[in-house]
Amino acid sequence: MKLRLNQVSQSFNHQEILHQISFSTSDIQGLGIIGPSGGGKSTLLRILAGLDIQNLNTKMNQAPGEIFFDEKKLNFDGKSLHLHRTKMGVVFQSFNLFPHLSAWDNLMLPLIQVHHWELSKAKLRLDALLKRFQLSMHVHKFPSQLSGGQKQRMAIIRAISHHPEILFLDEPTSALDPEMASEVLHMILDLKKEGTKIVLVTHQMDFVKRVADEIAFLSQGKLVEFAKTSLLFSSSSQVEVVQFFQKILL
Amino acid sequence: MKLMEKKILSYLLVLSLFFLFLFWSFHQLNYQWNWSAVYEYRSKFISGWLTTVAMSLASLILSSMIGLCGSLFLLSRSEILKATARVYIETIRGTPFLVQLLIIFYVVANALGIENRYFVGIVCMSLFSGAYMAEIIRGAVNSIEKGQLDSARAIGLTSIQTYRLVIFPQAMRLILPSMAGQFVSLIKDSSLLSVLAISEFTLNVQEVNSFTYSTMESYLPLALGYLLLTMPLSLFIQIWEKRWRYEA
Repeated sequence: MKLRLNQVSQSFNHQEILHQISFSTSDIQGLGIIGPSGGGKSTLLRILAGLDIQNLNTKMNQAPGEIFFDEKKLNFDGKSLHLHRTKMGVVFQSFNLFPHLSAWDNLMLPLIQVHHWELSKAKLRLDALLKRFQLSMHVHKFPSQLSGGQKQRMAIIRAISHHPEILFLDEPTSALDPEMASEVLHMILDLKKEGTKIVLVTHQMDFVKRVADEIAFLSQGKLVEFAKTSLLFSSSSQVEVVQFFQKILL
Repeated sequence: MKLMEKKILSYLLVLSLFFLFLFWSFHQLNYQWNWSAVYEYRSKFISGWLTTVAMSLASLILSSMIGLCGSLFLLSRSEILKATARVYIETIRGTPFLVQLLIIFYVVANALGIENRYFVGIVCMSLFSGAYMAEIIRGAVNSIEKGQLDSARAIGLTSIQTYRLVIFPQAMRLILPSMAGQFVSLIKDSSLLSVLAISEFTLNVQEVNSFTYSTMESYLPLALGYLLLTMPLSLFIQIWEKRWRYEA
């Protein structure tokens, strides 16, 4: 995937959350978005995934920023955004499975209601994914009966079952204990190996190193640095980035 | 002892004590019962009860529809729709039902040339109950986590699908208990329709009382008649609640 952002901004209640973020990736498989808490990482991911539109600060008289996926511009009208969302997959920190549906119905819902797959085709696809990630025995349970790791893995299956162009992961292991987090990390690394394109927001540096080819470092709503993963970790010239690594790698 | 047996025994015990107390109270009164005078007017009881059943049923359906529309107005992004719903709800909830009945029948219906008092009665009850229903539904929908909406949008559901498949099924769990109470109130409030000279249950019983002077013999069947309506309704909603129950 090639991703190009041109002055993407976001404001809530006249407060700027993202300030004119611009960068271009090369043709990569994984993009990482990292930085201190409250820096605008999830906000940027939500805009890229088509979940939020850019609310512009009227006081600053800005023009809306542009986003290009493989040089195709993302339009921010309702219809285009809906179409964009159907082509993407999103996994949230808090799983967000539907509690009134069994795990199976959670997985079936998008395939049948959104992508209009034949029942047999959907069943075949889900059976294969569930078997591969060893979740078949939990499929008739309700979300409340699943562990955190199982919930998140179900949520990932729901997000990838329709073969999305890009899988967006918003801190997918933050709400999990280390053992469960490791289940989820292995699953994501597996998906990366098989070629799934990933945009990842995370605080886990060893994980982002393995998933992302290039990284955008955000702090206080601004892009501090955009670089190849190996370069960012080994020889960042930005004081803020270096200090951040020093703090969290202590 | 099994749980079900325990339940049945508890109910039997409480009901027995209740009826014993009631029987003792009446006994203290030394009241001279005259059921035969009232029995002659049994057809009036039955026709009144049937009218109340029919009007309540129609109002239940119509008030649910009004409540749903009202809640959608309240939840919409349009300020004019929100304002419309808010004015309607606050006016209805802030004024007595009796006054609403009189104004709607003698002023609004009169101005619109509507003469069918049964129709006006149903509309009044529906508008009254619909306002409460709208708030019940809005409250339940608002209590659904924002993450559920995010998730629905992320998998590509449209707004209508989101409400139909995600929000309302989850909200139903919260709506039903309050809705049961609201429907029971609606049925009991139908007794106020007597002020519009609608031959419903209460008005007919009042008439029988004035013909026979047998107050207790008239009003006890009235209470029983309402219980016959409200208890199955409560029971039905409780069964329905189980159908929508899930662990959050």
